Amino acid sequence: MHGIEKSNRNKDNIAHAVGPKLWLCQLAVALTQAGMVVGSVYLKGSLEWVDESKKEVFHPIVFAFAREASAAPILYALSVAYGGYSVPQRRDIVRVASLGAFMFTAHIMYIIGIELSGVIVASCMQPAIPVFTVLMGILLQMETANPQKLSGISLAVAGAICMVRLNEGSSGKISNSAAQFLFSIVRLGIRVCKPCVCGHAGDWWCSSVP
Amino acid sequence: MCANLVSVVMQVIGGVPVSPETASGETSGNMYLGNFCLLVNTFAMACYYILAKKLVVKYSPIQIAAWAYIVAASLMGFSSLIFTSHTDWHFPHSLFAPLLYWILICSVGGYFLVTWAMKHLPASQVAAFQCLQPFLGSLLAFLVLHEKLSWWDCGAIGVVAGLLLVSLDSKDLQITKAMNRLQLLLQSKAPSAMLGRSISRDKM
Repeated sequence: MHGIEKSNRNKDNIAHAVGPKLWLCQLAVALTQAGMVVGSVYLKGSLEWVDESKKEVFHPIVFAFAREASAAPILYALSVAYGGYSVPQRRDIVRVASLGAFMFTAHIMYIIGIELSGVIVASCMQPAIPVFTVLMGILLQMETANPQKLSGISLAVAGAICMVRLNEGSSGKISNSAAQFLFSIVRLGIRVCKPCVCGHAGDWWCSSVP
Repeated sequence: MCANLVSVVMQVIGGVPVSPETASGETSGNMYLGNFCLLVNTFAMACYYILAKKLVVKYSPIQIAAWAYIVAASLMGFSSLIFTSHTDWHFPHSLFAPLLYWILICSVGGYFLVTWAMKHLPASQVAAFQCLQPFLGSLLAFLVLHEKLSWWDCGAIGVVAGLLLVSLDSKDLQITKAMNRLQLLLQSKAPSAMLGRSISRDKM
């Protein structure tokens, strides 16, 4: 009887895995990105009011630490309220620690990168995130390399790089090097995905890709 | 294959756009280091999405976000001891409100929503929405600051079209659902418990 109840509970979990409407998930992610854009503008606007005469200093690492150290207990309190006190299983501790390490690495490398290379370069690099994600997903066999997804990501990345204020008058060099960068990223993607895509799309794709 | 990949990655690092402010010879070394750091940033963020996708099948999104933030905050605290001096900790009063916004909206709300969406969408689709940031930034600049649009802003068409292609890829979504169900079935204890009971009944 106990086994049958567990089986029914697992069926509920499986039904839930089919989940809410997909447009809700996509809207949630889009709103998150919108929130981050508004946050960046808000922060940049507030930097003008930093009073250096009172020895006030904006240090990005201090800001990042304050943000993460404040958000962590709030998230943990919400997780306890939602699902009770829990810790990851012993075999998942390395994965969870790696997840946090990747988040930390992303944040601190972004801060250092902006300091050394500038905002324009950092903005140009961000659209590479979905490219790396899809490449790793395909290499780890978590996702398929279907042409629609790859075309969509390539189009979105190309559009995003175009939009990063590449004004012809002030930075022709940036326009050329950004195009070279994009070409390199897409070439890397094609070289990795070509064996996977050929299995789906057949010879016409393989013959058209260099 | 590996040599080709390494060569292309090196071209990526070298081919990253040069900022005019840092184009002098003295700072070129720092610029390449900055380019490398930004490349590591994008790679680390992609690894985060992939690993979160694996974990979200087993644990709730809020738990994953909380644990990741606890580890990240600990590491960031350690880094702040190395990279900052005592004078850097005079936090400006004008930044308390933006800090509160970033904590509640971007960190708590944002990372929870992204991890929740990861449960139902492929990781690449969630990551693809990162391309919305320049589009929304330009839109805000046009609507709020009345900035003039340039021809480069036609990239917005590519962003929207690309995201529509990715979002409407029903085959990919079906495969993700099937993989989620398979992982839940594999992790289910009910079949093994029932098997144990049937073996003990046979022994009796």
